[in-house]
Amino acid sequence: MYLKLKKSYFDVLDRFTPFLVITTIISFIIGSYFALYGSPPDYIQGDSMRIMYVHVPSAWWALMSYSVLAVSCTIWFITRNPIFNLVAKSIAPIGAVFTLIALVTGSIWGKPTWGVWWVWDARLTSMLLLFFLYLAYIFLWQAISNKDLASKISAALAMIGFINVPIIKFSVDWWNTLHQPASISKFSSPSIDESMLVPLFIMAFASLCFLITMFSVRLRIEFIETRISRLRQKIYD
Amino acid sequence: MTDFFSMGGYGFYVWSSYIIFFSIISYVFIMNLMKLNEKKKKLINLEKQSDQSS
Repeated sequence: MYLKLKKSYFDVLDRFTPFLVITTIISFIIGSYFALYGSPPDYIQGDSMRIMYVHVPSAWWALMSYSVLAVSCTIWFITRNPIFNLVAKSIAPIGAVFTLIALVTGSIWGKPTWGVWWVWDARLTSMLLLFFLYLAYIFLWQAISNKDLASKISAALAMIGFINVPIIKFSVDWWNTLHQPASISKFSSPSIDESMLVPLFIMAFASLCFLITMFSVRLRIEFIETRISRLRQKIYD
Repeated sequence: MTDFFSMGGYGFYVWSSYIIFFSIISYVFIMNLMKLNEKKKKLINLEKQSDQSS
């Protein structure tokens, strides 16, 4: 299994990291200003609605990360090109972090809005399942010492688990749930005011910058680990 | 200023969400950056060892 990657590609990522970090920090500062101060409170939920600005982007990128994971695993299954394994292994922990944040902040938002921290309804349960899918994917790589077998089993899990993504997306339409339906859809105009849409998009952009930064760091870690294990084999064999 | 921190009575929920959000992403970023630097050092050492053995 030869990794057809040049070290120079990763040196480019090294040079881009400071730029990505600065963009992430600046956009989080601007986003937080509008989210916490520069936007009005909701006329029903009051200021508790401000939790949306960290909850919704986390949920968006958690789902997008899983889609990247599932697509990478599928391409790996077809082509057996190890770069797609690296992409999948790099995105999984970041997706798990965003899922955890979406679950925790959603639970905190649920208490003042619904009166409970947690309900076992379709959206929340499927989101919790997404978190367990991420954990299972990461755990399989660590638990199985035969890397070829680990690749196959974890890729199969990621692909089967993709069924959960549309379930999460449409759970609020298919079942009766406490969770509100999507406010932003590509098929219709957003049902939230522009004054709230601007901080939401800035926080989403900042979170995306963080995701890209973390992905580039994780990708380099995975690449270096592959090189280390190959060098170890070369030295000790 | 007090109004800003009390968040209309939802201060605990709003601030804890933001603190959790920024704490988690900062922790994840710092831990991974440390791990990357540690791996880089390990790789450089192994490359030296490999050059010596070959």
